Amino acid sequence: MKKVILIIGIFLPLSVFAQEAKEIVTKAENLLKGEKTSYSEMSMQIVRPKYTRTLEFKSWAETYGNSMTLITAPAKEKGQSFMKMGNNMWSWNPTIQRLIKMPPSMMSQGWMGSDFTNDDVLKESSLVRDFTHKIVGNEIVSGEQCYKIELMAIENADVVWDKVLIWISKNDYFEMKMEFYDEDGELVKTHTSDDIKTFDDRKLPSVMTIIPADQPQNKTIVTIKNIKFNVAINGNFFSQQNMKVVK
Amino acid sequence: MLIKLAWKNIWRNKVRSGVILSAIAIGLFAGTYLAAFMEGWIIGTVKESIDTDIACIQIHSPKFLANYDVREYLQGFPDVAEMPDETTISGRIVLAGMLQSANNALGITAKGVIPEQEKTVSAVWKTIPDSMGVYLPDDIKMPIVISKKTAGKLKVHLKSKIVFTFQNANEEMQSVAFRVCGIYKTSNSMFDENAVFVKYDDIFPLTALPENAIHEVAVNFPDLKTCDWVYPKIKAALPGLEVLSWKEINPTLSLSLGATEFFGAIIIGIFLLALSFGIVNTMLMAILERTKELGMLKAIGMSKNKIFRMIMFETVFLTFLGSVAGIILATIVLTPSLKTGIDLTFMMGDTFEDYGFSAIVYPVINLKMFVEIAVLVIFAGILSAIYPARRALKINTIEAIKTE
Repeated sequence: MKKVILIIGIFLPLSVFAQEAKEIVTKAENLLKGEKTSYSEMSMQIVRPKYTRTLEFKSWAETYGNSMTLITAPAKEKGQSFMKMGNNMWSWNPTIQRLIKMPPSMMSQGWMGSDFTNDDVLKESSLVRDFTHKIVGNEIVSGEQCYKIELMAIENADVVWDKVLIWISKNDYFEMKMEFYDEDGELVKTHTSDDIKTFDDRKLPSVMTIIPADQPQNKTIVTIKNIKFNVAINGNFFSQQNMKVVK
Repeated sequence: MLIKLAWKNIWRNKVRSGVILSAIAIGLFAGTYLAAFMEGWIIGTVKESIDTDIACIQIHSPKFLANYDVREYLQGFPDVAEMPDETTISGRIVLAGMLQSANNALGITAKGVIPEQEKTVSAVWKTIPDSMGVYLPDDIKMPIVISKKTAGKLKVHLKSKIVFTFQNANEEMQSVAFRVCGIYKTSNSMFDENAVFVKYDDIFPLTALPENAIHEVAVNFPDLKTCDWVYPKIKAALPGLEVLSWKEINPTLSLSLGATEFFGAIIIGIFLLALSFGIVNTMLMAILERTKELGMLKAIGMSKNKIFRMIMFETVFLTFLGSVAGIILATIVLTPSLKTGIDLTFMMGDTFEDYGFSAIVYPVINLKMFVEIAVLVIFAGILSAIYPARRALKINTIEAIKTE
């Protein structure tokens, strides 16, 4: 009996930590996705060794549902739209007047030449479902006190990462920094968040940077210019017809 | 008597006879070597491509190949009677999709196979080196076989996890994690870049296809020639399906087979032409040098017919000896490379493999081809001896004897 208590005594704190870590990650994930709908205006700066270009786009989304993105600048790309419905993605290109359903093989390409892949855009975040969670420390990132949480992939989950390190701020549950590792334990890419601003009714980090580890001179910087939550979106809004006319 | 005389005549001027002999020998050696090399190369390429990639005959639903549409499936193996006993058959699910590792993602085609069946049709499992795992074993969960090229691009190795994403028959995206169990490498990099293999039973539940559905039936025979007579039978037996032979699946391959034979003939033709000129030249010289002697033979009463035959014999001996020496030389040089092959990577890198040709060539010694070449050479020798021999007949006896 004593032994049993001892064993429980040893494992209890661990499982409590695990529970707590999972809750923290869930809270952080729900910060952006906890609302019914959102409307945002963003700019994306793609930095490459030889050039830098900036895209601007608007985006409408139902959380865990459909979403639509419209490119608004530069002029060359203006009017291109992307729609996600369920597990599928379509793209509309006004210059060639073509609506394309994106095949799986195209999902691997960077979205509009950035370090985002279409797959990143399409796949629901599975940080809660596909990983086990553990708090491994407390660190300060961009001036915020953060929990450092280690996420290990569950065997046979369909995620490519083996380990994700995530720093979540203690006050507001912002994902201040994320590091993605492959199975050899090597860093593949880093996401960082900065510049906390107040939008509408809440504070959010407004700048997110993605840096691929093997090409440190490349990066993609996404800046939120405006974001609104729980806006009314018409039920017919997410349709192939609307992709061509949405403004 | 005439033959003996001709034989002795050859060896009277050893240098000249030696030169023409070695010219013929080297020419013949080059010809046979080239022919053996080309034949080996092309047969090797065709055979390897058929045995790993395309198989002798493929059967699909008529619309499948246009788009690799998941919904264009066959309901189990089609019934074909009267197949030869040595026929091997494999059914595959073919899914175009994306293969993703932490580092990269690639568009590929995954083939869902039943390992025991597939091993009889495709030799991909033989191209996995011992250090690079095994072909879809039972003791690894969700195994996947990928090529060395794919592994390099994804930066993965044995036991790495990779995620395959595809669209199933209900138009839903499916993602599934596999473990790398084997890494293969064929000499066809176009095939390597595109094909990965998983177990039928692992991938089937995700496809939302009805029981026993397959996209592709691959039929193979140990002997390529069997294909020629079985193919029309299968095609006639399955009017509703698309039945393709390897020649239709990869026309470039069958074209290169024909083209090599054609080019081989052209090369040998040019070689024979050059050889003929050499023989004409040498024999003319021989006759010019022996003007006095030939005149003397005429003077003491040797008939024109005999002189003509004597010179013809000389030429035939020369070409025959040269041919034999050339063939022996070719055999000696070819024999060691028959098994080990000739590695071409030193001069072209992987260029050949990028176009689907083997970089290691196993020459083929074809007795029929050797005999053909030898007969052609001797024939060319005889033809080109006619002119010098006629010149010998025209020698004016008196003039010839007079010359010092």
